[in-house]
This record gives sequence, structure tokens and C-alpha cells, in this order.
Amino acid sequence: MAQAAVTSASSKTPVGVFGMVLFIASEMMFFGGLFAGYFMIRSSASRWPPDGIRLDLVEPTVLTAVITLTTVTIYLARRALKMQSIGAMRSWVWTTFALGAAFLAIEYHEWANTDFKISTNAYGSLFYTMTGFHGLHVLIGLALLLGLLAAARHPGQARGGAEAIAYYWHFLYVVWLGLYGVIYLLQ
Amino acid sequence: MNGTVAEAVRPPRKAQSADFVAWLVTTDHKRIGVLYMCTSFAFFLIAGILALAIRAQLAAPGLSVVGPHAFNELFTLHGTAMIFLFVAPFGLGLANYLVPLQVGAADMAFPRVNALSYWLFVAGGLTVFSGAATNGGAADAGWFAYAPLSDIRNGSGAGMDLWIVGLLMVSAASIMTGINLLATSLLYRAPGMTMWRLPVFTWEMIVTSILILMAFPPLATALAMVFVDRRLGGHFFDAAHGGNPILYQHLFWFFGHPEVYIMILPFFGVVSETIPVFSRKPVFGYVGLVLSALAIGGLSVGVWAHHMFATGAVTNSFFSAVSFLIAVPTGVKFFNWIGTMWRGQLTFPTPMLFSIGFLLNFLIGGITGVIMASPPVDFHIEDTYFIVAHLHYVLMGGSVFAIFAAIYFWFPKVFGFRLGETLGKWSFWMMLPGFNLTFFPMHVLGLWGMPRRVVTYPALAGWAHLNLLATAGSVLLALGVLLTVVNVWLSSRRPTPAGDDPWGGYSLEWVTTSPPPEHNYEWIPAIRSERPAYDMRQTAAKAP
Repeated sequence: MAQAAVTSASSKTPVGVFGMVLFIASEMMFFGGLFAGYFMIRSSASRWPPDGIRLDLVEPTVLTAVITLTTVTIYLARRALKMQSIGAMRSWVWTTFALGAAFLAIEYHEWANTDFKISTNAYGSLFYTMTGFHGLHVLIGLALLLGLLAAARHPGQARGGAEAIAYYWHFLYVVWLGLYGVIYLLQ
Repeated sequence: MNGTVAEAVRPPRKAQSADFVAWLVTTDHKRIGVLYMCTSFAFFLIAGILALAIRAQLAAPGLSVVGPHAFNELFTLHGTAMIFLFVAPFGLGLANYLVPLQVGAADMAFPRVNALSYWLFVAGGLTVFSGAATNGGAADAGWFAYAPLSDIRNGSGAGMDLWIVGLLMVSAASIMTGINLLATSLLYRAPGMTMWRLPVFTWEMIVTSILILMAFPPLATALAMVFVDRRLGGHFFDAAHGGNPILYQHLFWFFGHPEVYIMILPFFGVVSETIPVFSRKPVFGYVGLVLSALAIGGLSVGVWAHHMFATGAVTNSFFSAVSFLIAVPTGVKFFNWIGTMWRGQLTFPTPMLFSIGFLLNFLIGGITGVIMASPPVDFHIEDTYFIVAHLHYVLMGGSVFAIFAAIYFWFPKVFGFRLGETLGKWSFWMMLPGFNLTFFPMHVLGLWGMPRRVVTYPALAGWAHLNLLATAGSVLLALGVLLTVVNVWLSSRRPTPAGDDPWGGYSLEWVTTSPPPEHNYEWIPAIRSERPAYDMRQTAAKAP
């Protein structure tokens, strides 16, 4: 009965993906707290957005399009890895990276051109904190992509990692859709 | 504490420095568990010294042992250390040690993440305390740091910022450990270890981990918002600029009440392990125990605003009703524990004494909790010493007594030798009356109107005698704790080998050697119930 205890009882799911799903759940609670704060502050405001604040819709719509594309490219990267074509996988990961970097650049441009600051009022605090934390998570996502490229030298080991990172990118996408809907569309 | 315990498992002298490095870089869940428990116990001793300073200041009316500002720092650091750096992390450290052993795994699912959790926890704790070295002193807004009090106008010192950053690190560490425990207990169970055969302790840790994943992120949100308000000129909680101070209370208590269960469920698990072993019976109502843990976990995320009855900004009747409901699954657990002891062959070694102490104290804390769940009563006793009495009956008389039960129960497994029974019993018989003398009078003081967090009080108020009694009790309690520390030191100087299973334990960890080998098990017995070690002994006794 020499059962070395390393065995995993239900090993259909790679453990890394399972861990990522739990991590994303906790991240959802973090952003949930921010959204709860948004609605609570908004519900007690007489005018929303406050006087003199109007957000332009063009740039956020472009951002939405860019981040939508990343969910496609990260899917293609995963599929390429499954089919063992490392070259294709590398190029799709680099494409995702470029789109993610473009997202951050456009978002920075938007921040630089809004006429209110984080210290203007509670609206400004909410706007920059919410989009800022999302942007920070995109930045972490970029770092994860670089890690995936480094790991791709050993395709067997990269499988679980690629799947976990793909989950993470979809999480970034869902949070952005929430931000786009709540902050920009429901003005 | 740390040094003493670590020394006990070291080979004497030879290669000690290499061994020291091995402990620093370890990813072994057992070593990380020991480090976690020893570090959090060190924070407990510090928090205890702060508490003694508080009791010294309040021993008589009009004293000035410490000044008002220092007093604020004292109760803030005491609460922060006890809650964030001792009770909750000790439970996580114990789980770190036990859960892989109890499910029959070789290690945690993510060993390196596990090491990162531990070191983040240490760094976070030190960051919180480092505020004491800054010009403005340490954080002084209480352990829940309500927003207008914690903002930049009410304290521009760096102590508050270090408190925020330190707690963010501790939060991240807790979340990572929660993920690790869930992945380990769900995916790394040994063959035959089905969910309904998991030890109750592991079940309680599963529920605790889910609560960690739900509760700590909103705390991080709240802390981040306070930081934005303090250092980036934000206005989240500033009503003059469109913010809402009540928002902080909502976010904080959405964390804070599940946190109460994060600090008690692991210790429900501990006594659910010790009581059956010392009653020589299987636990009574295993399924009921597990389901009540799940029910407590579910209800605990719907009661946060019972901390906010007095704000007038929440639906008191709803939160009151849900708070009352929690008494039901908790009552089920008491029924389970008493049913387990009923007609058992009871023995009373130190871990059983502390487990029974837990039951007595926690019962009082639970009942005062039900009393406070009624808003009209709460309006009267809000922010009085009644609250202080209640929370200490739950956390100190409850959780901490169960921590001592766990220390005495699993010490022989972890280090291979027992703690002395005589000193252990002395420790218990000093801590139990010491604890009750300290905190029972506070119920009365609270009902008489003594507010919490005041640096002193007038002689005319008539609170002097009970305060002096509480201070005397706290000295007895501290001496009791000290006896256990002395016990660890003396027992490690002349270790008496305990054997693999000194208590006749039930769960899987008692099958392997004490201390267990690096990969935990050379072999694993057939697992047919929630008591594999007991089954194995029965099979061996029947064999020719």
C-alpha cells in the first residue's frame, strides 16, 4: 500500500487553473467592493456625474474594442499551444501583449485629458481608483504574458499556465465591461 | 518562543547555521505551519503586554500610567495584533500544518505560494508595528479605523499609512493561504478520503477559506480607499465633497463579520477533534457539524450591519433577524460537542481541559452575542464595556483557549515529545479564573455605562472596584499564559518521547511518525471512515 501521497484525487482540472479561478473569485470581491462604493456614493448624490463633468465616449469605446480583441487573441494562443504549434502560440501571445499595451496607452491618454482629478470630488476618486485598479491588473496581465513566453520553451508545463492566464484575461475583460457600462454608458 | 520551539527540532549544534537557512527558504507545509504558529504566538505575547499596560492604566480612576495618545495606540495595536496577527493567522498556521496531513497529501497544492504567504504575513505584521517608530507614533484609530477618524485631518502621521499597508500585506497573505487550503483539501485528497470522511477540522478550514476569499478583498478595497483619501487627496469618505463615511463601515464590516467566523471556525474544528478523542467516542453528528459550519459560513456574510445599528442607515430588522439565526447552527454545534461527551469515557488531560474551557467561555460569549443582536438593547450598550466583554469571551475565552488546546494536543505530533501535564494544568487553572475575573466584570461596567476606549474615568462613577478586579484578573491570566511558555521551554530541555500517537487519535495525522517525515507518509492505511487511525488500530487488534 505504498501510495505516495502526491496523487491528486480528481486531477481533471490542472491545479493551477483551479487556483486561478479562486484567485479571480477573490478579485471579483475586490472590484465588487469598488462597484458597491460607486453605487452607494452615486445614490446619495443629487447630480450624477457632478456638475461640469461629462465623459467622452469615443476613447472608452475604442478601449472596449481593443480589450475584446485580446480575448480572441489569447484564445487563439491557447488553441495553438494545444495543437503544439509553439511558433503560432508565441505570435498570438505577442499580439495580445501589444493590444494590452495599447489599451494602457489609450487609457493613459484619456486620463491625461479629463478635466477633473482624483482630488476634485468623490466622483473623481471613484473614477480614477476604479479604472486605475483595472489598469494595474492589465499591467500585471502583461507581466504574466511575458512569463508565459518564457515558459513556452517547455510546452508540457506551459499548458496549465496558459489556461490560467487566459482565464485571467477574460476576468480583465469582464471587469472592463462592468466599468464601461457603469461609468461611461450609465452617465 | 520562536527560538525555543525551533531549537527543539534542530539537531544539536552541528550544522545549525545551514539548518537555519533551510528554515528560511523552506516550502514544506509543516515547517511553514510551525513558523506561522510561532510568529503569531510572538505577536500574541506582544499584544498581551499591551493589554497589561491598558489594564494598568485603568486599574484605578485618574491614573496616568500612559498618556491619552499612547492609550489610543495601545488599544489599536492590541486589537490589530490579536485579530490580524494572532488568532486568524494561528488558525491558518495550524491548518497549514494539519490539512495536508489530514487529507493524506505530501504538501500544500502551491508550496512556494505558501512560503510567500508566510513571509508576507511577517512583513505585514512588522510594518504595522513599525508605525510605533515614526514621529506621529503608531496607528491610533482602533482596530476598525473608522474613516473620518483615520483620515488625514485626524492624524497625518505615517503610522496610520503603515497600518494600512501592513494590513494589505496580511490580507494578501490570507487570501493566498485560503486558495492553497481549498486547492489542497479539494484536489489533493488521498484515495478513499471522500469529502464526507474529511476530519471536521479540515471541513471547518474549507468554510474558513471560502470566507477568507469573500471577506478579505472588500477589506483591501476599504483600505485602498482610505489610502487614496489620505495620500492622493481623494474624497471617498468625505461628505463635504460628495463622499459617504458610512460606506467605510459597510465595506469594513462586510469583511469584519465574516472575519469573526474566520477566527472561530478553525477552533470549532480543533475542539471537534479533541473532544471525541478524550471521550473515546466518534464525534456525535458528524454531518450536522459539517452542515452547521456551512450554515454559519452562509449566514455570516449577511449580518455585517449589526455593527451599524446605531448609524440609523441600515435595515435593523433584517440584520437583527439574520444575526439571531446564526445562534441556531452554533447551538447545533454545542449539541454535537455535548452529545459527543455524553456517556463517553472521559479523560481530562490539558488539551481536554482547554477544550472544555473553550465551551464554557464561548457559551457566555455566544449568549451575549444574541443579546446584542437586538437593536433596542444594542442602542443601550453600543460602544460600552459590554461589547469589550462580549468580544473577549468569544475571541479570548473561545478562540484563544482552543488555541491552547491545539498547542497541547498537537505539540507531540509536531515535535515528537509532550508538554508537561502538571504545568499545563496549572496554566489552565490560572487562565480560566484569570480570564473570567478580567472580563466578566466588564459586562457589568458596560451596563453601568462605562464607555470603551476611554483613557481614564472619574472616581465618582463607581467603576473603580470592578476595574481593579479586572486588572487583578488580567495579571493572573498573563501568569497562566506565561506558564505555558515556561512549559514549552522546560519540556524541550528534557524531552520525553511521545511516540507517534500519544492520545489514541482518530484522524490520519496520528498514523505517521512524530514528527512526520518530509513527505508526510511512507504509506497510507485504507480510509473507510472519518477515523482512519482508529480503524487501523481496530484492524490491527483483530489481526492474529
